[in-house]
Amino acid sequence: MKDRFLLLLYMLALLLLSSLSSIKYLLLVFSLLLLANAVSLRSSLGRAIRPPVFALFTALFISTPYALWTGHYSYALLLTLRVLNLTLLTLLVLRNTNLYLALGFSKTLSQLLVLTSSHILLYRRVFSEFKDSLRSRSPEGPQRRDMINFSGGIGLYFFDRALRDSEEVAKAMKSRGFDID
Amino acid sequence: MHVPDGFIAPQVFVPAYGLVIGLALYGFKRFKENLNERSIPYLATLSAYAFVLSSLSLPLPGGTSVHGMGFAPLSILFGPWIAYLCMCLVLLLQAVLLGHGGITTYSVNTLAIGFVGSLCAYGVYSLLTKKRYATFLSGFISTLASALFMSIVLGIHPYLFTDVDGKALYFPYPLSITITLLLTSHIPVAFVEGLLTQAIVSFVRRRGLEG
Repeated sequence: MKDRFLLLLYMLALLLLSSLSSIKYLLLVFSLLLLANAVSLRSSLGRAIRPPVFALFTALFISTPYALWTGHYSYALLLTLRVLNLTLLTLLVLRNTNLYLALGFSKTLSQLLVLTSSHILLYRRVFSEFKDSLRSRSPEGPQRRDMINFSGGIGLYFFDRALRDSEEVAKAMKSRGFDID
Repeated sequence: MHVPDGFIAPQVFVPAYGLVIGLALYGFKRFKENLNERSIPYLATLSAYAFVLSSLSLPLPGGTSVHGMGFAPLSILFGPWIAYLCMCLVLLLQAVLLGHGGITTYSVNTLAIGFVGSLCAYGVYSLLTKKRYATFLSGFISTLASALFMSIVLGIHPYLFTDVDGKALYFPYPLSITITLLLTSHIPVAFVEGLLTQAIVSFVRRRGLEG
């Protein structure tokens, strides 16, 4: 219940922040969000700082040509602050909300969400391991042809494996009471 | 193609959210009617495939990015509504896990990729079902259709949302730029998407794993 309430509050805050066009207010919100996120940004610097940095570069990349082209320099600041505020707010909420609880409106949806997430983790881990093994076998770096063969092989491999694993997970979940409602 | 947070006006993304939720409810009804318990794992697997495929993206100057999407195999194998539901999940997980696409822009991204893409993929495949390259063309054309939809949504912003000085408040580039840039850049992506669709659908059918 708490998670769903937080999610609702977050959606309302997103709406409010997206509607703001005053740089003064956006700066104020930015300072508050930066303070609220300061602990996590400092403690897990590598992972937590990546989304705001990416958001900053994206906003500057899009707004700068327009600002230079039209002479509306404040647009770059407006867009950058809005994008950063939305990203920092999302980080803050995601850290304090269990997404599976907030979005689990039905058992079927929960089952699908859990299965999909577990497969995503499986796909990414397996792919990364196979990529590392290819690199370790090619001291001078893999050729393009090797990469194409490798991609085809690994694609079929993890698709096949994931199909079998997903069925096992579904059976395991069913045995624990996750039936289709 | 995912549009990040901050570029879409609330006047656009709020009604789009209403549409996405309405379509998701309908898709969920169809999902419960058409799929048996065995099909859910396959649906999850294909959703994960779509997730991985669309996580590989390249940023573009027009404000978006280029990547494969993976909705076409889902649409051909399970039908457009189920594919749409899957893409709702995939795009949500992408937005919260990887930061690909934003939460405010989730609705527009879902309509472009999940709804327009899935429906177009299924429509093209149904029309050309006896042709040799139906699966490839389904992936190819549907990718371009979702890129076109997204470029129109982005491109109307400078006409609708400006301040008294004429300064853009949200996405700044007009239709002429967004359509040209997104469609051109998505041609190679659509080609790859078509090939992947053909490969995945053939593989799944050969194994008799359809839902």
